[in-house]
Amino acid sequence: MRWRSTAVGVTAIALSLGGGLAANAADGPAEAPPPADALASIQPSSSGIELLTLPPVSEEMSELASELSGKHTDDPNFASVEVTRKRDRIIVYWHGAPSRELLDTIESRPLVPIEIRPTQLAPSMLKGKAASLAHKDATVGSIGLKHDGSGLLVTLKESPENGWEKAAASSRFSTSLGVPVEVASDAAPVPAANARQFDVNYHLGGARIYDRGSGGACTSGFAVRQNITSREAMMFAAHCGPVGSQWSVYDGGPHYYIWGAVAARDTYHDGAIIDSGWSQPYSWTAAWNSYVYTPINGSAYPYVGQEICYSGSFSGLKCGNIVQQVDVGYELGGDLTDIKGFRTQHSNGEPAVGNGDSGGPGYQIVSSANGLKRNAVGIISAIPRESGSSCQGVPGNSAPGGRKCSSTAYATSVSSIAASLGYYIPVW
Amino acid sequence: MNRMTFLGSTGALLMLISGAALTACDGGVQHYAGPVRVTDPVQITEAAPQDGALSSAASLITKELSGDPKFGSVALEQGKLVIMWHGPENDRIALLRDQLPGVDISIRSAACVPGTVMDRAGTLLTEDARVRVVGMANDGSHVVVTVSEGADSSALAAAYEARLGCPVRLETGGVVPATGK
Repeated sequence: MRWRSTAVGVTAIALSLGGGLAANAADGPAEAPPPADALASIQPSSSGIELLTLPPVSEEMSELASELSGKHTDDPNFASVEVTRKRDRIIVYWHGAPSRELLDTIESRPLVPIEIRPTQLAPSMLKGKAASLAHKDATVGSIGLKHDGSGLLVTLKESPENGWEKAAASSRFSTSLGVPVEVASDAAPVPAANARQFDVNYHLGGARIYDRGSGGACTSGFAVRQNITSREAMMFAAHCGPVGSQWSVYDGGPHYYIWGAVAARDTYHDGAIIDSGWSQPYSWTAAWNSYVYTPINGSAYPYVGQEICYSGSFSGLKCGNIVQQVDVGYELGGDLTDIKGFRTQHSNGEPAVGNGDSGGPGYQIVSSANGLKRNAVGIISAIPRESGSSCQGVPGNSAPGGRKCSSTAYATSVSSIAASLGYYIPVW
Repeated sequence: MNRMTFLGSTGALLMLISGAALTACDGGVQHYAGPVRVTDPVQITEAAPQDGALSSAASLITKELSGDPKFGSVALEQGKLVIMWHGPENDRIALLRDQLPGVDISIRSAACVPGTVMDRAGTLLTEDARVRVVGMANDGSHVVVTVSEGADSSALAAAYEARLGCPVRLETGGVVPATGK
């Protein structure tokens, strides 16, 4: 499963059966959050190769697979992307002739072996069938495309008691929809292992999160607690979504899990709270696709000359960002007409923050009598309008709407957001 | 293109969950309940640590003085803290000096009144569609106003100066949210 969460993360097709991204239906009551000491503090580690159950995926292959999945998810002819178990090539499941955009993406990585496999059925048609079945049949627990576009796969709210019952349900659905439908024998699988990209169980800052309605991506910021009730929640950016918008994480395939809905926003500091129910005072760190996290030991206000380490879920960790200016006002449209934040500049002019990092953590590292401490300082908010496509982590794209990155970043004060919304930053 | 082949299809699945299932089971995701091994092969390169005492002092000063219109910012410069402040030092600063013995704190006199100017700048940001970013220079001598167009207009700069009560330097640009897809 560890492998699965790194490599199968490329098979994302998010269909909406009641809105945007779908969520898992794991049964049973939620357990109490784990004790803080259950999570190890960060340590530079051995290679980790010994923990894989399949050969490691090359970085370039992984990046291309991720790029393919991200760029083409909304294309009606796109079914999924798969990295083979031998790790010798990527397979794109596509209906009809490949689009120019798909070919451009593939040709941008000439060294990665690619295979395009035609799907029997149009993914867009299957998605429509899936949505209609989900809405009209109360026995359906989950429904989705087979990743090769050959039909649908359904689980029932109550598992079939025998093979005959499964076959009968499969026949009934296939006849009703006019496409092949396979009924699985059990409920949704257990979530995959956790990582920055697939933070199903930990609920840490720096995780990739998705708006269930729009499918837009942001990054979680810092674990917070409500001042009076101590209810656990997650801070991120207000511009990511309105109050009520639901935020989910991907498990590496095939599910999205709801973390919670936005419960409060501070438009003056571009900060918001996801009512996640639980969260832990750690941040995912290192590369954009890492498994590594580190404790958050406190919080601090921004000041000029402070060095910030950003850890967005698209760019990964980037330190060396020096606060140039505090109390900077800027606007991002909508109800965010007068945001107060701070501006950082990377000391070597390297890209530090880009699209997809919004909401993510910015922390400082300080020395203390008890060793190093990481203090929550900022929530990633914005980048200059003229930013380029040179990015760390997930590659940039110079096309309009493509991912852009910058050595200049605008962030907002975690402490100010927390004070405004009635939360505090728990410490490890 | 010769890397691409077109083959028949086989496969696993891509699954969706219905809204009904979500409603029934929302919150039922299994929580983590066991030790985790740190497995990332990437050597983590973080920043050299900053002095914890100075950092705490800077954060405390910011917290205590925020909201005072005479206060602009705190800067860490060569091992000491510099407070941008308009006018003579007051009791609050004296109190902070007492609270932070051993911390070298100096004052940089701001020509403009930071809080007042930035309040006006916030209004300007809201009311003038050309204005995208406003920020006071760290020495408190002027305001940098980033506009979508017209940065070369001395008339525009003069109009903003009159409105803000502080010299203005115009720049062209803007910011966009760092959201992704």
